[in-house]
Formats: sequence, structure tokens, C-alpha cells
Amino acid sequence: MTTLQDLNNVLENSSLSQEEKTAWQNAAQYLSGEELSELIALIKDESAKIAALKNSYLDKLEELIKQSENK
Amino acid sequence: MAREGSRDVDPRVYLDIQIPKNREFPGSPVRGQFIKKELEKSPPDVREAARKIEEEYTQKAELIVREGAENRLDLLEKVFKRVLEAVDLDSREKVLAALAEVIPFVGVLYAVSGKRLTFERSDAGWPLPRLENINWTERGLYLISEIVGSGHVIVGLKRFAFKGIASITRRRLAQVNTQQEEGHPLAPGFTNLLPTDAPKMEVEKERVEVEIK
Repeated sequence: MTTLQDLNNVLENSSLSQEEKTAWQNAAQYLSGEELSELIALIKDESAKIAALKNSYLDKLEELIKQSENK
Repeated sequence: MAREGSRDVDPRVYLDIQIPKNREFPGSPVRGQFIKKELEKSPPDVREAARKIEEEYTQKAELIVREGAENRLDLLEKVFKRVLEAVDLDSREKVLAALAEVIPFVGVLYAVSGKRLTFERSDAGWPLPRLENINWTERGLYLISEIVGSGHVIVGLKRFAFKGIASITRRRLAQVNTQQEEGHPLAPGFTNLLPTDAPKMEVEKERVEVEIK
């Protein structure tokens, strides 16, 4: 069962602004269990995408540095 | 210093510090710091290429953030719609019907007639009025809501009730006084309506009797 604590944990690790985090923490008590799970899934999905993109970006930069060093 | 397979790069190899335990962003801050330092030492053409990569990344990140925000707004809309459904105000036609019920005594009319005004959307998009049958429970609820929902009615009822009680009290007190003046015993059930000076009246009566003796 999804709880408010689960949401807080996900929000803590998310890229959402502090203002939006607080807003969702306040609004969470009015959400049904299903909606809360959906919200958590959405935030997790966004965080995962951002993390993947960030890694991809760093990979590219590393590749660039490596190529530069090999020249 | 460069390594094969950049995806498996472990920053500890370079900087000998701990990777943050947060796996949502695996090692990014440390890895980013290292790359930044390396870029600072790089020639201008490499830094320019890195800037372009960063621009591309920022655009993609903005798209993800925007998509996430839209998804959360959709969820919020769903929650809002659920609340509106709960109070039966989830369409323009229902809001229109509710507005009609704000008019005083419309609820009484519904309760008495057993019908209520609702609206249906026509093919052209206009709200079409129609009368819908309501059951006894709903008629009762309309009646209660009308009484509870209208301060004017409640005030009217209160005044009516107070006027009625005051009138009955005055009438009974007058009756009690008349009976006492005529020497009749108090009628049963009237004792509670005696004014606060009732014992005084008894005393006066005793004094009169003594004088006669």
C-alpha cells in the first residue's frame, strides 16, 4: 500500500522544485490510494528519465575528452 | 587516465571519494565535477563542442520536465474531476441546474412537485431544460436543504416560533391571573407558567385572609 511517506521519499530524490514538492505534500492527503500511486510513478518516471539523460550527457562529454586526449 | 566503456566509469578511481548512495542519479555529481575539471584543462574547440552537447542536453531535459509537469497536471485534473463528480457538478449542465436551485424556495417547489429542473446538452452544444423525476428521499433532502440552506427562512421560522411562544405564554399568564383574582385554584399544568413573583402573590392572599378573621 502506498503511503505519504513513500511520496515524501520519492519527492526527496526528484528534480521537482521545492515549491512543487511542498504543494504535492499538502495535496497528497486528498488523493486516493490509486492517485497517490500514479503520482509516485509519474515522479519516479521523470526522475529516471532525467538521470538517464544526465548519464548520457556525461558519457558524451567523457567521450569528447577521451577523443581530445587521443589526438 | 581515460577509460574504456564510459558508462561503467567509477569516479572513485579518479577522485577516491564515495559515490552518493542515491541511485536515482547514480554518481552524477561526482562524475560531473570530474568531467568539469577535465574540460577546464581542454582546448577551446573541445570546450565549444562540450557547450553544444550541454545545450542539446538542456533542451532534452526541458522536454522531460515539461512532459512530467503536464502529466502531473493531468492527474490534478483527474482529482478535481473526482471531487466535482462527488458533488454532482462535473458538467456545465449540472452547474447550471445547481445555479437554478440557488433561487429561494426552488427546493420547496421540487420537494412538493417531485420533479427537478435539469439540463441536457443539445447537438448544437446548448443546454436544453427538462424535468427529471425525483424520489421521496431526494424530495426530503431538497426540503431540508431549503430550510437549512436559507438563512432568511431560518430567521423567519425563529421569529415565528418566538412570537408563538410569547403569545401562548402571555395568554396563559393572563388566564392564571384572572383565576387568582376570581379565587379559583390554579388550573393543572399552569403552575410552571407562574411568573417569578408567584410566592409574593400567595403571601398577599394570606394577609387578606388574616385581615378578614
